[in-house]
Amino acid sequence: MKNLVLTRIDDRLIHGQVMTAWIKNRGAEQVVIVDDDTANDEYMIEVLEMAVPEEIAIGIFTKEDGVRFFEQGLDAPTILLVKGPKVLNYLVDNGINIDEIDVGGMGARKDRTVLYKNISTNGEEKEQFNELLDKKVNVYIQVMPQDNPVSISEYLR
Amino acid sequence: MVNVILISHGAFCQGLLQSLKMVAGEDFGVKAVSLNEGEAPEEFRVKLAEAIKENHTDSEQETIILSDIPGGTPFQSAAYLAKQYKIGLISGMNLPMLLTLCFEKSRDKSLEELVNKVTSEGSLGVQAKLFKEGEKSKREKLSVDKNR
Repeated sequence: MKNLVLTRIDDRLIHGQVMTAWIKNRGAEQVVIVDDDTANDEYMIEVLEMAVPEEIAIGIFTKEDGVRFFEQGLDAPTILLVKGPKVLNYLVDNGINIDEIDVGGMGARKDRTVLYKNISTNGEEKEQFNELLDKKVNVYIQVMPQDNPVSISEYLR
Repeated sequence: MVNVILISHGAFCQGLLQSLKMVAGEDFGVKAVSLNEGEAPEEFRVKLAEAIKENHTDSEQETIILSDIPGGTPFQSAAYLAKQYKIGLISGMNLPMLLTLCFEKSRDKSLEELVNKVTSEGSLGVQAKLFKEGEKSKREKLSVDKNR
C-alpha cells in the first residue's frame, strides 16, 4: 500500500540504532507497531517511545485497531513493525495490502529452531510464513539496510 | 573503505566487537586488539601494527582506531603508529559510536568525515532518564483514526 515503506518482523520491536538506520534508509516519518500485548501495556509503550528518535511519530495498536488504522490509508511514509508472521496474515486477511515483509529478528527460544543465521522459527511460525507466501507476499530476511535480502522460501522446506 | 580497529586495556575491545555482531548481525570487518595484563607496550604496538597492515591496500589506506581511554598505552601506541599510517584516533569508544561508524563507513566517506560524524553528539548515545513524574516526551502519537 502507498506510503508503507517497510514491513518488518522483529521480536525486539524497536531496536535502538538498528531501527534508526531503517528509518533513515526508508525516509520513514512514522512507526506503527501492531502487537496485542504491547498495545495493552502502557508502561512498555512509554519505554518503546524512548527508543525512537523524537521526530518520529509512533502508534502502537492491537491487531483490530491496526486494521482500522491501515485501512484509512497512510499520509506519511510508515514502517510497520510486528513480532511475528501471524499478525501479518491477520492484517492481509482483513484487506490490508502488504506486498513484502522483511524478517529482521526472531531470536532463539526453546520452541524454535534456527531457520537462517540469527533467525529462528517454530513449526507454527513456518506455517504462517508459508501462508504469507501463498498469498503472494514476498518474504525475505534482511537484518540491516546494507545487507542483501535473502528469500525465505528455500529455508522453509 | 576506511578500516576500523578497536583497542583497549584487556578484553573490552573484544567484547565490544561481539556486541556489535549481536546488534548489527555482522562485524563489518572490524578488528579488536587488546593490551593484555602484563604485556609490554612494545609487544602491543607490534600486534596493532600487524592489524593495521593486514588490510592495508596502499599508502592511501586510512584506518580509524577506537580506544578505551585517552592517553593510555593502547592510545599511545596508536598515536605512535600514525607516523607511518593514515590514522584517525578516537578515545572513549562505545557501542553507539561503533554502530554509527559501521553504518556510515560503507558509504565511501573519508576518514575526516567519519571521525566528525561518530564523535558528534548524536552518535555518542549518552542519554540520561530519571523517570520522574511528568517527564513526558513531546513526540507525536498516532491515534487509531488519524495518522499524520
